[in-house]
This record gives sequence, structure tokens and C-alpha cells, in this order.
Amino acid sequence: MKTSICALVLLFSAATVHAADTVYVQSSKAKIFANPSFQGQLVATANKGDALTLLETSDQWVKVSYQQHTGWIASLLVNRKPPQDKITVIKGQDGGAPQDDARRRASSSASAAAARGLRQDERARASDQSQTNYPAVEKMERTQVNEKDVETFMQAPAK
Amino acid sequence: MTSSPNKIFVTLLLLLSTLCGATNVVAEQDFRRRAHAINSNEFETGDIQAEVAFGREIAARILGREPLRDEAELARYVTLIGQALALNSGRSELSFYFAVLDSEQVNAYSTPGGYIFVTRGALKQMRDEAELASVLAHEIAHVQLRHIVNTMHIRGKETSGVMTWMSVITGGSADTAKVAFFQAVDQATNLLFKEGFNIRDELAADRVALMLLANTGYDPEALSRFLTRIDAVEHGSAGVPPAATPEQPKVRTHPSGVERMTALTTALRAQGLTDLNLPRRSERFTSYATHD
Repeated sequence: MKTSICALVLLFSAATVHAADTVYVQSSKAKIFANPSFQGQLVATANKGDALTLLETSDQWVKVSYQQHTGWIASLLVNRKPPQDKITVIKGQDGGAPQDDARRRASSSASAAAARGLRQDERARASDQSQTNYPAVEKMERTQVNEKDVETFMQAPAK
Repeated sequence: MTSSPNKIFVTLLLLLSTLCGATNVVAEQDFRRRAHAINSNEFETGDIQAEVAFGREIAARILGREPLRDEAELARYVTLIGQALALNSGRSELSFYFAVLDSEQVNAYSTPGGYIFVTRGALKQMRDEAELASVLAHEIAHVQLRHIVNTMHIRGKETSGVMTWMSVITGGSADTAKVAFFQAVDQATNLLFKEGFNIRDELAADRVALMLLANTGYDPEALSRFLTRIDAVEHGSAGVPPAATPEQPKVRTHPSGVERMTALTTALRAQGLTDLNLPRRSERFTSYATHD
């Protein structure tokens, strides 16, 4: 029985520490500085989804440990939960943006009937500002770039 | 009365559970105290779907009032800057979209869910890419901080009378629910076009924008430069022609002034964001955002 009790104590303790002290990087990359300042020395760079151990907070910064490093990261870049997958909206009868991967197609088809309640004529009746332009929204949604494009764009010589 | 080993074990287990529960409560309170600055993601998938659907409706109304600038290269350029910022924001679950509005007003808008707009009039007041990034970052910050979502209480399971937002989105609601949904959309559209965000939300968006700019690799002082310039346009100081002439673009909805500039200066210093020597990229900006 002693063994069982010890096991239970360990189990509860582990659960408490894990739930309380881990935050996850939400951004593509996240710089960790020696001080809560962008002028601090760069200690490490964490990647999206990395788990960091929370040590302390200060205004818009949190002190974390990451791998063998300890430093400060902007609080807006972390969350208590791991980053979520992309969540897409149901476009239905407005046509919608092209879905660019299988997951999005699955998500879209799973809710294919979901736009029934958002027919344009119903929108017009329900809204006192029915001047809308859904084709323009769809055009806006079609202007897409991928992460590689963004990386190349940001690495271009700064002039 | 004797106690069997099993009864003792159960009692100990209950006691341990209680103690651990108490420990958890203390740990949770302690964590909450320490983690007040951290995003606490209490939003479920349904909440975010409701946010995106709600924001898309507002986007359709914005584009119903002000047309898209029909210039594919410019749209892609603005999107590249916006996506660079979005990748460094904390809302990776959203697909952000960016567009230029063919309007001479100096303004920018964002809707819940990540639809971001900047006007042609605003582009004309900018001098470099960092300034454009600063405006987009400010708008992304409103989305990141869920200003409209929280003001309007947009939730997937929101119950307002007989409706839920998700029931409207999924088509299972009554007409009264749809009317309520679209009235809320209208209210949020009015917020963007007429009332604007309150100063507290604007200042919070500015602070986050500075962090976004620095994280992405743009000069965070660009926001101050741009706001100073449009403030001068609006109030006719600093050698810029006053806004009284009919041709002069109007600056709307975004408050400016001493309070905002003071807060920006304070935030720049507090976060170590001054003199970082991060790029402004004026040449690339000029090549894309030609001032016709």
C-alpha cells in the first residue's frame, strides 16, 4: 500500500507541475532574451509548439526555461495551450476561398451544409446595412502566400 | 469497530485527493498570479469559428462601402508584409487576409477572425515599409487581443435569448436569431466606421503592435512616425497642409494625440524598442506603393 500511496503522490504532483508551469510558443519563431527587453542579449530562439517552463512574469514578458537556456520571451507569443490547427470559416453559398490542403477540404466538406442560414437574401433582410460585397471578400481570400514566400520576402536585402 | 486495510487506503486516497486538490488550488492561484500576462486560451474551436464567421460578415460590409484596390501586385505585397507579422503573432489558428481599399481616407480596419484592410489614402501618407507594417501590426493586434470579440461577446455557444451564434452559422436557427446575429454584425461595423475602439483598446493595440514589429524585424518606431505625420495632417501642424481643404484626406476612427504618443514613447522605452536599428525598407515600399 505504501507503494500505491507514493505512486499516487507522484502522480498528483507531476500533474500539478505540468498543468501550472508549461507554456507553448504560438508564433513561427520566438526569441528569448537575457532580460525582458528587445535590447537584451539573445539567448535562444524557440519554434512554434515548443514547450517552455514558466518561471516568472513581468509586464509584457515572461521568464522561461527552454532546453538548457533561461530567459525572457514576449508574453504575446506564448499560450497555456499548444497552438491550434488553422480554423477555417464556412463560406458555403458565397463560393468561399480555395482550400489548399486536404485538411481544409475535409473541414470544409464536413460543414458543407453549414451556410444554409447565411444566404445572401436572408442577410439582406436581417441587416440594416445590407450593402455587402462577398465576391470582393473571396477575391481578398484568394491572395495567399505561403511561409516560404514570406521567409524569402523578409530575407531580401533591407534598403 | 475495526478498519480494514482497504478502508484505510480509501480514506488516505480521499485525504490525498483533498490535499492535492487544495495544493492544485493554491498552485492554480499562484500560477494565475504569475501568469496574468499570458494568453489564457479559454476559447474553443466553436468560439473561433463564430469569430471568423462574424468577422467575415463585417469584411463583406466594409467591402460593400469601400471597393478593393484592383492591383494584384500591391495586394500581394501588402499580404506578404501582413503574413510576416501574422506568423509572429500569437494567433496561429487564424488565416489572416490583407487588402488595400480604394479610398482616399486615411484609415485601416480589422475584423475579428483576421480580415485586415488599409486604405490607399493611408498608403499615400507612409514613407516606408516599416510604417505600412506598423499599421498592419496595429490592426493584427486588435484581432490578437480580441477587442471586438470581447466587446460583442462573440462565442460559439453564446446564448442570447433563443439563439446561439453557432446555430445561426450552421443554419439551424430561427429568423429571430438570424436577425440578432446580423444586428450584432451591424453594431460591430458601426464600431469600426463611426465610433472606433476606445482609447484603452487602441493603446493596448499599439503596445502589441510594437512587439509584433520588433519580433518580425521591422523598426518599431515606425508607428510613432506614421501617427505623428497623420496627426499633423489632421491638425495642420508640422508644416503639413491642414485638413480643411476638400482634397485633404480625412483621418477617421483612430484616435491620435498627445496621450497616444506619450504612451507609445513610454512603451518603446520600457520594452527596449528604441534604437534597435531594424529595417525600414523604403525602396521596396516605393516600388510597390507608388503614389499615383
